[in-house]
Amino acid sequence: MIKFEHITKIYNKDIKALKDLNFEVADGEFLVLVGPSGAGKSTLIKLLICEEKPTRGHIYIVGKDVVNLKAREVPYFRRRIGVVFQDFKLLPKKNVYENISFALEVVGASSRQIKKKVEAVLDIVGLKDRKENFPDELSGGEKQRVAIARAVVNRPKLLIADEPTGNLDPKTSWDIIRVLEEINKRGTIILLATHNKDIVDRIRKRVIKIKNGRIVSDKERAKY
Amino acid sequence: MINLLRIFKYGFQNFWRNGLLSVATTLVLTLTLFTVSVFVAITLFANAAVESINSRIDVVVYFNDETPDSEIARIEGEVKKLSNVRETTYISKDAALDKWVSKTEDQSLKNAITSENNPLPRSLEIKISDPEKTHEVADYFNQETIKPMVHRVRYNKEVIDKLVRYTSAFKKIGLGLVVIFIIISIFVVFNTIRLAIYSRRDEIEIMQLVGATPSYIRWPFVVEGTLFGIFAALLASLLIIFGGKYLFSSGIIPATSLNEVLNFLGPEAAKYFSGASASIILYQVIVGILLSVVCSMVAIRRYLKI
Repeated sequence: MIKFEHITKIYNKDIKALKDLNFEVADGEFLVLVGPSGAGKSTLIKLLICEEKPTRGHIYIVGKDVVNLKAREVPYFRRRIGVVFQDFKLLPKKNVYENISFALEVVGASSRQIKKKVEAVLDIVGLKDRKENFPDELSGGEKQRVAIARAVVNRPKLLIADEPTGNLDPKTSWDIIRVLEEINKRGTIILLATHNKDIVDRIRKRVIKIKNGRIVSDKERAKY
Repeated sequence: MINLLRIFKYGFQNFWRNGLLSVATTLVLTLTLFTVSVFVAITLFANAAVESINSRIDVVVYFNDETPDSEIARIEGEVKKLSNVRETTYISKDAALDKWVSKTEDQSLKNAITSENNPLPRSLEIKISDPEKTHEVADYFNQETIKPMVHRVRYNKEVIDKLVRYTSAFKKIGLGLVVIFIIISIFVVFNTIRLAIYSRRDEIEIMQLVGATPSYIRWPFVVEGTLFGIFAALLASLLIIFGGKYLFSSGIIPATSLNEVLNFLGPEAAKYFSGASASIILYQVIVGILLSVVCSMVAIRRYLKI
């Protein structure tokens, strides 16, 4: 479960990125975050992955107040959430298998465990036959699947997807959304930030709309 | 344990996969070590040469024949106590004659002086430790009580003055250049390594994103830095050894000239230099590793946000 309590983020006197945000996300939920550029979506995500701290308020992720996390605890906390970005953020010098496995190496998993988990996650995203390829040899959709595989290989409770379809054509975008829905079915909370009206209108999930740092609407099975 | 293995694996892998950048960094470090070493070696060599010339500077005091031996012995005792005097040797009339005979080749000249008829004066040879303070000795012999007993004090004031001027200037310039060079080198190496790390900032960002601890991110860079240091030190040493051999074998510097210089400087200097060239390799390895590791550590701090 994720809980935002009176979250305010002020960068300086004039720029208030977020103003008194309050909402909860239940376990297993698929939440869509929409809003124009500069509304505060990216700030919200930065707070969730502890890249920045809120000026006021508390964020609870699986019962833990992440605002008061000590710097040395942050890496361990991040292993429990997955993030995917518009620009994939894959390492060009590592092949598909290595791009995913290094997220497990970081946590100190054994080589046998790594092999097992990477094979399993490649199966979920449908890239079993591409594991020897390097990112340059993949299409945009395939790259994003690798990024998703890397994000979920540690079996996180929460997967944050920041504009994951921003660089993809409509058909490929849908493939990615299907993968996210598949992961959601396995019990991971999905937080999808997107501009894509078509996708929001068709998946019919809970939609939170942010404008000027405030929540302007929060509806189940909503449209854009 | 697994992490330690992975740190080494990735250190080596990064070094290998970043091929061109690794080669460039290693070469910059090599040139730095090479130039600094050569410069330090030249300065050390020149300083040793200067020291050795300095130690050869003598003041010779010739006494009047009327001066009693006891007075000369007293003067020698007093001169020995001067802080600047390293060694004194008393040359009696007989010793002066022996020297004369051994130096002179003309038989008739040799026979001109005999031990019964010996005009050669007794003298005191004084070796000075610091030529900049020769005047201490000169002042002593200028005293009113001593002056009448002395026939002549011989010390080559001009040569000594010139030597003092050149050597002190040389030492200062040499030291200054070495310091400037080392500072420039540190900046160049630091910048090169910073660029190498800058080119991998995405990788660092992603590692942080998937929950790598700062030390897990940092250590492969340190391993990589160590590799830069080792390879650069080995290359620089090879460059010095083979470069030196080439200079002598090709005749650019005639080998005999080095031997002459070493002979002139004496066996201690020769030993010193062969020892120094062995330790130069060791120093290069240590300095090379230290420099690149410290630069890596400092450079990576910027990209480790937490």
